[in-house]
Amino acid sequence: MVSNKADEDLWNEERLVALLKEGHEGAFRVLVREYQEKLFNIACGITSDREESLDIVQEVFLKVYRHINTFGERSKLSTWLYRITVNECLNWHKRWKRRFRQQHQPLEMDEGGYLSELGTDDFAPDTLYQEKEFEKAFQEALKGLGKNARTVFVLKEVEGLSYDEISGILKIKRGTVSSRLCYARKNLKKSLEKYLDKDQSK
Amino acid sequence: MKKAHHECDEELIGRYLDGELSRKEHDRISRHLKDCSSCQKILQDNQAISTVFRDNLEREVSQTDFSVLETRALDQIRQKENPWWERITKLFFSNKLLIPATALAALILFFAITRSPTTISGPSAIVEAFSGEVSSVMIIETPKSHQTIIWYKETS
Repeated sequence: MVSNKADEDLWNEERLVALLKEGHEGAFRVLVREYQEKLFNIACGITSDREESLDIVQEVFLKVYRHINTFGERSKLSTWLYRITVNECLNWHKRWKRRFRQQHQPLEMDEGGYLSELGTDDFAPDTLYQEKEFEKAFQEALKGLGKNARTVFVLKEVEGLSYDEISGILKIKRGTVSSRLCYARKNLKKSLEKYLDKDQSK
Repeated sequence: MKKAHHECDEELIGRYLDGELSRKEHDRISRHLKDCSSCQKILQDNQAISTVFRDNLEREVSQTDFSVLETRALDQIRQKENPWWERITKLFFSNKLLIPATALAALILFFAITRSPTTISGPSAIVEAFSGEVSSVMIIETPKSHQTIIWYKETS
């Protein structure tokens, strides 16, 4: 067991990678703590499924542990991790159909499947319905983007990565990053037009 | 051929929002945005979808228990360090299974020694048999179910 103090000392990328290559469990724990949320955000952005994203991130960490010796240290550790995460997500794309079908919950229900109680603060028919409807429309719009545009959009929005970083992760040209991002935004806006206009007319 | 940069270019507005323009281009778009309502709308909409997306993700993150992920990941690498045959060996020689396994072995040994081996049922017992000049009769009883069988044969 490595203490928190030791964990802090490990947080130096070069040293962390060296220890990971030695199979150091404490270093692996530091890696998990540092990146789990970031990788989860990317996975969840691409797959739109929390449980599946947890499985994907777990699989990413296992792959990193197994193949850390192939990490050449020419690129940043984060770039390598993001690339593995994106690849893992795209390998799961066959399940997308099923995933999106499952997400079609009745608009009237909240996340626990219960109707908000009449007379409580939670019950605001218009806003509740509109929010749920908007969420649903947003998920549908994301689904409609296709994996390439969606992945670029997620990497930009989740981690605020630069075009150069995204181009490094996905091994595509910088100009392709820019055009895919523009395509993603344009299509999302087109699908959500009525909601965006309503919001701005208030 | 290099693409001409017209100010009302959606991709350019996107790059402006992402901070991916040179200083000169950035300033030019800033000036243009002050007077162009359609580009202002593009910028606002881009910001709006970004906010919605991030809010959705934040909600997912707030409902996620990352300690479970950490535990699962660590368990998995420990399992990789100990292959399945080592885990089975460890399980059988662990204290948890040692006592029940010894007791089971002792029971098997006890029954193997004390119980006589099961004999294969022999032929049915002949209760009575008659043999005359005209015919022969045999009364047989099965050993387990005690059913009586009468066997009759005419002698030629």
